[in-house]
Amino acid sequence: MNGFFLAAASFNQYRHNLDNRLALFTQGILIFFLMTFSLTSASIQDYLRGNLEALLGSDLVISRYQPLSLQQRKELKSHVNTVSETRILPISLTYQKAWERVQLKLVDQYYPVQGTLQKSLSVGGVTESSQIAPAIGEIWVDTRVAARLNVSVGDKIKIANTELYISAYLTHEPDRLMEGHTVDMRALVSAASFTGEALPAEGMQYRYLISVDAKGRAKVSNWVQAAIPDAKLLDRHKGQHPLASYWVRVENFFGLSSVLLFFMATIAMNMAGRRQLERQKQRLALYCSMGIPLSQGIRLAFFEWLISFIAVFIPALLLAYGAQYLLIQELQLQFTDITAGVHVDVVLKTSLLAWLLLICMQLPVFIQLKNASVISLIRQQPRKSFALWQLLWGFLTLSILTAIYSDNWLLTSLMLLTMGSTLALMMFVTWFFFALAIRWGRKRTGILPFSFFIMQQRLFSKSTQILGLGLCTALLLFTLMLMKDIGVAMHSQARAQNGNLIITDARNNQLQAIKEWAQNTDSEIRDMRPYTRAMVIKINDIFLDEYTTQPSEVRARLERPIRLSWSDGIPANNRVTSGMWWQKGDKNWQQLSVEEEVMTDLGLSFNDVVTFDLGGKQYQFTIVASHAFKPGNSSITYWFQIPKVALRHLNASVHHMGSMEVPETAWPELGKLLQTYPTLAVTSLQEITQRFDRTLAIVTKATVGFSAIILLLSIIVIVASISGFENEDKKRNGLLRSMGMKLTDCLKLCCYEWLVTGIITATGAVAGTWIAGQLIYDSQFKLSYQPNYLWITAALVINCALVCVVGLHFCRDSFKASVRELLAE
Amino acid sequence: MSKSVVKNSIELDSISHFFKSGDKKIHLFKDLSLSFEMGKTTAIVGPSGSGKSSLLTLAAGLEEPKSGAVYCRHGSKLLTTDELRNQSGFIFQHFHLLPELSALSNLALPLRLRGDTNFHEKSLKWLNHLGLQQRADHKPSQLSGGEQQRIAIARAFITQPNYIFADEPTGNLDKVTSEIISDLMFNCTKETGCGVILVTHSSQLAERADDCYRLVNGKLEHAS
Repeated sequence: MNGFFLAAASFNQYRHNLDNRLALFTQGILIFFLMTFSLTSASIQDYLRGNLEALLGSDLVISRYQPLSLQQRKELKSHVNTVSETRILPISLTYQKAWERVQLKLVDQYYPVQGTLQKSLSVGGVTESSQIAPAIGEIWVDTRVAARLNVSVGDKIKIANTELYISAYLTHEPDRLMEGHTVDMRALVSAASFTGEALPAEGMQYRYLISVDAKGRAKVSNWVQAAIPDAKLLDRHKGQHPLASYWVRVENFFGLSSVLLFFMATIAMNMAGRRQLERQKQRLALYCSMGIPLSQGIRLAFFEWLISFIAVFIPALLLAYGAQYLLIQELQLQFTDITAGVHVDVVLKTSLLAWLLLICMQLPVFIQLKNASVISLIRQQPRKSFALWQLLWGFLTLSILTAIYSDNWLLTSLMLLTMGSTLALMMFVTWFFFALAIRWGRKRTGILPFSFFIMQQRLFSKSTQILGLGLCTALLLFTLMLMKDIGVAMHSQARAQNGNLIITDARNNQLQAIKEWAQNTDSEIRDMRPYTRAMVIKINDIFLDEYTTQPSEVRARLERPIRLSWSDGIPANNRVTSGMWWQKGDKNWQQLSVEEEVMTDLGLSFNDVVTFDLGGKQYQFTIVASHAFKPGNSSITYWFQIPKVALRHLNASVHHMGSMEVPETAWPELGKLLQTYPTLAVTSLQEITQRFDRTLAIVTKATVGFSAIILLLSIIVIVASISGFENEDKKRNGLLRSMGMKLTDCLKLCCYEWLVTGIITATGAVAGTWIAGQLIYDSQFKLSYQPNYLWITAALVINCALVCVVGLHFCRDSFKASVRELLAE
Repeated sequence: MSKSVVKNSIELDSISHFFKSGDKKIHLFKDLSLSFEMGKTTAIVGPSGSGKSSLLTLAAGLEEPKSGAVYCRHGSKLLTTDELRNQSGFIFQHFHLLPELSALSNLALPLRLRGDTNFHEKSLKWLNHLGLQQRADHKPSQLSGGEQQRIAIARAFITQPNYIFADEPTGNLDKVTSEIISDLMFNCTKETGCGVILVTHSSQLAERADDCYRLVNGKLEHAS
């Protein structure tokens, strides 16, 4: 206990020290970030759990893209109390010349199974509960649909030649959760309003809401697995919220971000810890001279570190609670019932994680403390620098952490490769530069050759400073560049689509009508590519759910039918990245090319067999090639592509995706086309732009916050790495003054030194950013990396200037070193 | 040197030591034997680079000799290096006070590290003994070199060790201050009865020791 108090006293004495403050500040930022993220995440998880209980609208939901057969319905009904079939069809709802894309929900007489519907008779008016769905011939629409179509209660609209009377505004469905928290507009109608084949079965999603007891749940679960493996089963009692896997991916992304922050923090603490370590070693040596065993000294150092952890942990935790409250308030705009919580268990778990991460960073310091010896107080000991090892240790431990956190192996590997190459490049440039500089300055006199000589003398510590600064600047530049470029790309992509109307789904029989409509309205069809809907069922005969459990963008998308396209040759906007694309006339129709990122995310390799479900039949394809998007042509590309000849063997209905340029005068005519073909799915460019802008606003908010933390850590790294050399610089300047040199000479020397540091650092950082751009842009963000040379030059100059200015600013004290001070020392 | 067997002593038995400078081996001394008794002061003198400080570090058990052995006897018991270190104190040429601690805290530090709850009273008593009670709250930077070394000496003696190893204790001080420091050190030695092994360039200081040896060209000569 005495040791603990002694460590506390020691912590108190050193807490005002700049190095100590920087290290504490860095620790604080990290703990704050982790805590805020974990607390917010826990509140969201709580919300999702509660949400699932309240909003599933039944005990079980079976969801699939084809209806159950009569036999299957019979089997299902034998296990359950009530079952209600709902169908969801995305259609274009039209009224006069206005049109709007909606999710039309067709329900039967058993709907709703649990809970009540909420409707109102006027926009913003009193809501009423209802246990029954709209009557035959009636429709309830979302108030947003009403506003867009300019309709109100009492109006009549037509869907597939069936006239429907708007009897209420739909405000809430008990199975609302199944709609997710999408912005899709909705309309509710009784399925019996439509006769026979009035609505197409294609593209329809079927949901079976089931009321059943615990025993029956297990039976249904087994039955679904055996009889309808392509179906998705959601159990209210098992907490499988549809947003849960999405949230896992968000968590993973932030996990990766926090690992980046930890990278920066390792560098910052490494820099700040340089002098601290020397001081600690001296203190330990003194303790040893007082007869205290080294192990006890290290224990004291550990206690001191522990106290520093606690000292920053408490304010960071309080701030994190505050931040959680603010974030949840922001989220309440989207999810009204979400509330901030205390989450003791989460706090404990995160504290342990933060503690383990920070102790990992501290471990090399404790190891080096083992070298403390009384001899160092008697005579000068050769100083072994572990700074580089420390940096590499940080790199290694955080690489492992990144690998654990990340759900995107390709991105993780590329990020690590970028960091590794940047480090190697900077090392090479540093050593190469000094080798040349020393050769050049060997027979020369003056301040410049002397400054090279001095820098070479402390090459090792200088290298660590350069590597730390360079890596940190590279990360900062990359974050800023990516943020800027994604923003620009989102804007330009949204605005530079090939046409101003995107056709996302046009059936074969609609194609002729579209062509005629285009001709009549002076519109121009720019692009049209065929596809069929297919569900990925198995990979190498293993069900997809079992094949991969890691959540990812790709995995989430495969929950729904994908677009399977065909082509003889390689499409103009694709390039084959590996494998062999099939030849025209090749008789083997079961060949498949998979997009590169999909291959990586699912861990696929050549000769893997993918089983697709097309209209209830299963087909197997063998992967023979991998393709990637090639910018410059059409923006429509597909993840899965097969030879055209395969079409003869498939039971496939052909759909098309494309774009049109519609003149201003033709827009009012679009309603007519959509009224005739309600399943024709089109989106105007304006809508895409608005959607992008909304997404961009969220992305910008998140990235600005993240960049602010990165920037803060960068400043810490710069200050720490510079202040770490203050004493050495002071001593050197004092010595130079004692040799009759002027103050301006010392200033010059300092300028040269920081200029060299700045140039190498900036070169490394810009090169690192370039490597990251080359490796990551295309493969991860579908952006072609086109370095802006003006931007690069500006980044180089600003970086150089910043390092020089900050360097000189922090060195200003070293100019005050007088010969008298040196003598006194 | 003849090997004497005493009750409490540190014995250097035929020790040799060298260090490497690049590929070269620089020998400091060979087959050197010497005994330091508790209760006696022993001074080692010699030119710079003769290996005096290395001899001190070997005797203190901070380093292992390249050949030979160092024994520390306490009665019939042979002490381990750790046990010897636990019973030792050091005085350095550069004082090595902790700059963040006050004079009193520096003095109290070894007691606190050993868990002595009376550290405050004991260190105050020593401070009075040194005549530095007015300086209790002063940081090392606010003390003169002599005052700092007096604190450092008291810090070495405050735990009543069996041996004190002093490396050029007056090396950084003027003549008058050196005498004050010498008086303090020798008085403390008498009062506590510990053994002092002293490495110095100062002949005045060496003369006051019970035994004095000169280390020249790797050989040890009795100088008094």
